[in-house]
Amino acid sequence: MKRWPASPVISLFAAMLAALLTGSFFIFLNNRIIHGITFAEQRAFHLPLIAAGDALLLVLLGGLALLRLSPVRKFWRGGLADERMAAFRRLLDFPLEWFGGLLGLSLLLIFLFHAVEFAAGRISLGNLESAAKLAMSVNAELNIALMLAVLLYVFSRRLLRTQALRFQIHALPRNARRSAVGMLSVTAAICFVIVVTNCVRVLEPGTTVLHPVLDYLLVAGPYSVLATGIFALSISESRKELRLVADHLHRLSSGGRDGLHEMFPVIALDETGWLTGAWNQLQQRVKSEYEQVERNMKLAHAVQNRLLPPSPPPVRGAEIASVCRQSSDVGGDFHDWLALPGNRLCLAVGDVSGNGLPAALLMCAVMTGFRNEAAKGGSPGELLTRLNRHVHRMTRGESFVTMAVAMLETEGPAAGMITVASAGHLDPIHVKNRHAGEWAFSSLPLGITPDAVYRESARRLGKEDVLVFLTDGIVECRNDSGNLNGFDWILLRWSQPLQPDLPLASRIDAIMDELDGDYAPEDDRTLLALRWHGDDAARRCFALSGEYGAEMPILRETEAWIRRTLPGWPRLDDLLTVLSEMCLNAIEHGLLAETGKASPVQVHLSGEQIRIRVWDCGEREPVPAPETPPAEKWRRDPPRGWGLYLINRLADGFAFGCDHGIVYAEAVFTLDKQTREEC
Amino acid sequence: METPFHFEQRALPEAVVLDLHGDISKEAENRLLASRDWSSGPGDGLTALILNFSRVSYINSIGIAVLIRLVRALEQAGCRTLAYGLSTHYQKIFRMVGLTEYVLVFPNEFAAIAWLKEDAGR
Repeated sequence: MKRWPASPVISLFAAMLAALLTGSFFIFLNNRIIHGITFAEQRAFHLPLIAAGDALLLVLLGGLALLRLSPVRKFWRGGLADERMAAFRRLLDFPLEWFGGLLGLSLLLIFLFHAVEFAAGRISLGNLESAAKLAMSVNAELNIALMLAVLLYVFSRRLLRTQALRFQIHALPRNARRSAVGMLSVTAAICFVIVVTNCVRVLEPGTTVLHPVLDYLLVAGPYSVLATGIFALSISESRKELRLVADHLHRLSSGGRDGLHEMFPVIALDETGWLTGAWNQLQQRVKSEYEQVERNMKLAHAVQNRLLPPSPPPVRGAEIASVCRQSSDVGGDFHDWLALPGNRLCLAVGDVSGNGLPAALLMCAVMTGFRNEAAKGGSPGELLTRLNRHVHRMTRGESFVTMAVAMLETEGPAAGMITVASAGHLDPIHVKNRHAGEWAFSSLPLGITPDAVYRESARRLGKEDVLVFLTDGIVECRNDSGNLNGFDWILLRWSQPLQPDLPLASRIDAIMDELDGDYAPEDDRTLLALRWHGDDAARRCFALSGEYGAEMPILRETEAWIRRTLPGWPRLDDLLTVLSEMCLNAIEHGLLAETGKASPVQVHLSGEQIRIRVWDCGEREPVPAPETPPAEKWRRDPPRGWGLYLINRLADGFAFGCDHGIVYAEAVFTLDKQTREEC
Repeated sequence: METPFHFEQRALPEAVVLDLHGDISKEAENRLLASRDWSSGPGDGLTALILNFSRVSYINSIGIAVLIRLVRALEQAGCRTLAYGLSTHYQKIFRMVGLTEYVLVFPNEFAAIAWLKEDAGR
């Protein structure tokens, strides 16, 4: 725990000392100038009494400060948490106590001083003139005491405010409240008394210098200025406290989201403190509501994410990658892909107008509609035309959706043919031979009019061509200077050479990271890219030489290729073990006997399965022997024969065949099977 | 080509640990089986052998045969074989060929040693 610093106590004592010396000096001047008492006379009588009074005040007021602030010191030295509020209240009550203490003691000392004066025969009350003189003297001393009490109150309040901030109290108990009006009224009354009582002096008979009215104005003017200054100083403290609250509010409104629910410490027991407490209470309620909304948004975000496709599908000859980053927890961007009957792949990218929850709800409805309509068949244009009618029924033209749909032929004579239709969506980018260009479309977004018809356009993709679909959040990002990145920015990114061996996903991630790093995206951003490797790219051919370990480069290349083409395919390890055992079989049973020979190995990926074929050197198709039970294999020496055993259990199919007179072994893995049931 | 096979041997109070490196294939047959007469136990008067597969990424059917011979020899000597660091795929292969009948597979060395201590206390 932090300790109560010594400096405020020292400052309070210093202020008190300064106030007493100033007051004494004013009394000295008053005696000398107004009452004409010589310095020698004052040194003999007045000054010792004034000094004694000052010493007494210093001890009594200092003792009061130490006594009243002791709970505060005790708390900062390691007090209990429930003592916090009591210490805080004591701290804020102290300036008023000091004000009262100084005023009360000053009155007492004034009375004592004049009593001693009377007892010493220095004054008499025998006639009106001497009584008036005494009254004037008391009046002047009282005025000085009032001024000093107000100044000391203002100073101590200012000094202790920084200490009050350390308590970090955020709410005032109802019984701790004070009113600023009370103290302001007292200050105003004091100022009034200072002006009026000092002006009474001109009424003293025989004191007229110029003219009674002129004399009055000459005295009243300076005292009015002095009283106004004291009053302004007193008000300025309340103003400063209000200003602190206003500064907090301003900082909060211009700050980031992290400090949105920040609470302010209470620094006064009056209306400023009430206001701070009420604000903090409101903050707590808003925070609670906000957290509830945030929880709901996170839930909606999770639901929306589950609706988006998890990973690209395995596609013969093609590679697909996508990223969707939303500006808020839920957004209106979406993308999807579906494998359709007849070796066709359907891709879609869309953007619902607006963002937040309404956009997310419409996005969910459009995605469901897209999947339903795509399952019914038809071309991309027909699909969008049907989907538009659904969207218009939902939105009645008040909201709209831009969407692009593409259908790719993955096998057969039309392999690589892609047909695209767009509903007001950004034109896709076609990257061919390092040249990135727009594939232009012109059409209305979905939901604007119920009878819109969407035309389509088709192209045949060349080997390593890339087709990129994007949403407007990609091209409408602004940099620090406020400039839009624009379509040229994304075209330039896709014009840069793309390594065939590098996954498409890495390029997309790099573009997104650059966008999020250099720009300040305000909208959802989606990129979906399709790279066409060509029909023949779905096959890998190798030559297996006759030595142990010759299968390793084949395994490594196949692993990298399958990982790239079918990211996340769960049976890759099974496939590699089967390929390894087939190669080992060929090495041990064919190639080792035929030095200098090599066997062809082919791994072929089609839309539904992967076939591994390893050619043998012989021309006679082997007749598989009945499988030996594992227990018997264990007893053998050496305990071999596990290769075919594993192949039969890991692959979905295994057979020997003959191609143009050359025998081969072939294993098949079906892509849609997640695992093969183990024996 | 193949990642060359080699192994390091450590003797702990509870067992001998073999830290295997590289591919367990044809080369392992010569290096591992010829290194000692495993039918007399793992050495140092201990009766348990722990195989650390953390640095092994490839095991083929020849490697499986090597492991079966090793385990069989230790069984004859009345010794236990334990293993850790095996990938999920090779744990499946071990189950398929029946190696898990004779080799206890653990996630890490700590778990294997803990099991041996507990077993010794029974």
